[in-house]
Amino acid sequence: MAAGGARGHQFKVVLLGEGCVGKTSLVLRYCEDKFNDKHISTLQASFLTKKLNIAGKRVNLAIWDTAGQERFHALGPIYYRDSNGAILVYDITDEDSFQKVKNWVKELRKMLGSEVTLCIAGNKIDLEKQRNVPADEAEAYATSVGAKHFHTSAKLNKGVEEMFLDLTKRMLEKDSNSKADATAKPGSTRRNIQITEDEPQEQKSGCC
Amino acid sequence: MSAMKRGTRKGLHVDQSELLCKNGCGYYGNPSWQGYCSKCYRDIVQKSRQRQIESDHEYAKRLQQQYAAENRGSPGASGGSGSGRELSFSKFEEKKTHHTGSKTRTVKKLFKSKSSSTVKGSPSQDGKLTPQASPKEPVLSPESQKTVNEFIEGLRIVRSRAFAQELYKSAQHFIHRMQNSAYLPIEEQSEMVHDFYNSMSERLQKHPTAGGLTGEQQAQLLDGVEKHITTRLHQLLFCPSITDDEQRDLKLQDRIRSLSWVTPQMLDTGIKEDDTQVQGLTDQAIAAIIEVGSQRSPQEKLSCLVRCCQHIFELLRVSHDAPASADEFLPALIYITLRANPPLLHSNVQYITRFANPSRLMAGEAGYYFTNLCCAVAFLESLDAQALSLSQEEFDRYMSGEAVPPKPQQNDQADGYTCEGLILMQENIKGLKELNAKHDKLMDDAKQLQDEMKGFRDGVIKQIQDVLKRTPLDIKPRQPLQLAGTPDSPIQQDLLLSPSTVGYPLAAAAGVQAVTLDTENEDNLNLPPPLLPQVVSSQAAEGSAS
Repeated sequence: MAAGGARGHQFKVVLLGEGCVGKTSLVLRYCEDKFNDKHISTLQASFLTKKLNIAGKRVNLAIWDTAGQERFHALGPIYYRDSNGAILVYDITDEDSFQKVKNWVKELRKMLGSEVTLCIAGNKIDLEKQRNVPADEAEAYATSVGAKHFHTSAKLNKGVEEMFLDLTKRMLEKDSNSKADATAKPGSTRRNIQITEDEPQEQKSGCC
Repeated sequence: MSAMKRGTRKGLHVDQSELLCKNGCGYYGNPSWQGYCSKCYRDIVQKSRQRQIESDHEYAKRLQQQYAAENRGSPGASGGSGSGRELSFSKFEEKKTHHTGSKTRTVKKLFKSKSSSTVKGSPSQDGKLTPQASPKEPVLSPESQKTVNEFIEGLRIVRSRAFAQELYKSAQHFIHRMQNSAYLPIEEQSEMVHDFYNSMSERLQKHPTAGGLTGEQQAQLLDGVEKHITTRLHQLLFCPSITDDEQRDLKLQDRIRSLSWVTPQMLDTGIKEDDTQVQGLTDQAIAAIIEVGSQRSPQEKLSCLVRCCQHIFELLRVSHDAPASADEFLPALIYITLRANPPLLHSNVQYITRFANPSRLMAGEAGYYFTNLCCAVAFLESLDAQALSLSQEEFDRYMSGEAVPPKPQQNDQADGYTCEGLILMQENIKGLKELNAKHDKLMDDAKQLQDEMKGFRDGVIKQIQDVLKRTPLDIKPRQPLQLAGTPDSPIQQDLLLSPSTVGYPLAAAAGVQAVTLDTENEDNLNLPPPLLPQVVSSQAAEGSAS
């Protein structure tokens, strides 16, 4: 939940996407400005924070990396509950990873509704020659689901900063809107672990 | 007749004589009358009763005599057995009352000393904060007492005494309220706790006298409140009997135990198991995750979890040599959970979810690790063959214990099954070899250094000899010093060059100074001649002469 007020805004952003699409590289590039470097100071790249100041508003981003392997797909809801934003990463050279993004979007919209701000990142544009996901198709899909599409490259440091900045701005907007709503009906937020059973079952039946 | 027939048919033969009365009176007997006829039985029973009464009477007499003999010494004991019995009973009663009396007294004493120590526990505050609460307080366990003191300590950052007192009182009040509402469903209790956190946080933000507090201090106070409440209510809120937590704990524990055959390779953790450093870190991580259960407040539990995760990241760094992403971290955490099989894992997860401050679970690092732990638990609960990339048949066989998964081929050790000790030994041998090589290198280096030093010494000696050869040292006889010569004399050069002056640098310098003073100050030469005494008044001279 976004905790506003004197301590600034607190946003939770989850990174979703198949394994090896470069989620970790993206977040390391953004928070440490490093790529595939031995001098990266953090021991881990799974939970990173970034402080921003947008138009005088202090924002604290907590970026949660998620395990992208297929076998952990069913655990998604535990990760992304109560998140304000989600970045869905795919590899432009890998058509399958884009299909995964579509699945994630469907799931997120189903579980979190329109409260979550979505970004779709087509990563690895440094490998433009091997592109397998048409850019216009991806962008059309993004607009159709109310997400924003970004072409990124963690290696060349392209589009990363812009993506996070845009996401944060949109989250701020949504937050101020929802605050106006929240005054009308307070105390509606109950937080418990709810692992829905139907989603993993769907997954199983699809694969077997 | 028919009954008889049936009886014989069943193979039971009853002799005619056995049916008659044992007394031989000719009447039929009955087994329920012990084989006698009704008349004889009545007689016998009566007789035996008579005998019983007589023997009882005798026994009583004997006892009376015994008592009399025992109490003969004590005065007033001759009153008979009745009084004797009464006496001993009253004695016993007295002892009993005395015993219980002392018991209650000691309990009372315990209470007294405890309550006085609670007051003593916070000496500077006892007049301000504790008195309202301490009389009502039951005896606290040492842990609770500690948190109470810590909480009071924490409240000191509030500048206004009245406000601090108010906070303490409301926390105390809330604890009592929770203690009285233990029968409520756990969700409602959780909601009550969350509402209390919210109201506390609002109070801190809105209270006029709390304005001086920084955001950090407010957070610190809220932490204190949370810790205080959860530690005090731990017994009520942790694994409460109204939920099925306990059964689920056991179920999860059994489940994890039955999965003990899962190897890190099946989970794709990429952990280098045979590395001793990794093994050490694994053990540390396991110890930390087990410690979660021994803590009382969610904060402490979470900090144990954070420690566990840091060990995991450390061991992933050793194995991968790159910052670990969630792709590696989650499998590793699952593996550690599997290895550790922490007791009451489900209860701990539920307790933290229900009673930790929600904002902590939402944003912080601890929240992230906790979420991952939830994921690990969920994964282990629903683990199937597919998730481990095994066939269903293999999975079933491993689960039933029929088969043990083959050990992965270890790259440097040829045979798969090597026991711990052997691995350690091989590790040690490797270490010794390395040390040996290092030692040899060190010796070589030392030798080289020695040679170099020797060469250097020889070189220096040679150079000195060369210099000596080039510039032979002649020692000239000493010459007398001439200090004040004529301005034109070459005394200066003489002074600087002659070896005899070397021993007298000060004197030489003084000589030079003197020479320069006298010879080179041209102004001295242009000065007017010194004044001569003149006759001021001739008259006076004349007068004095005359």
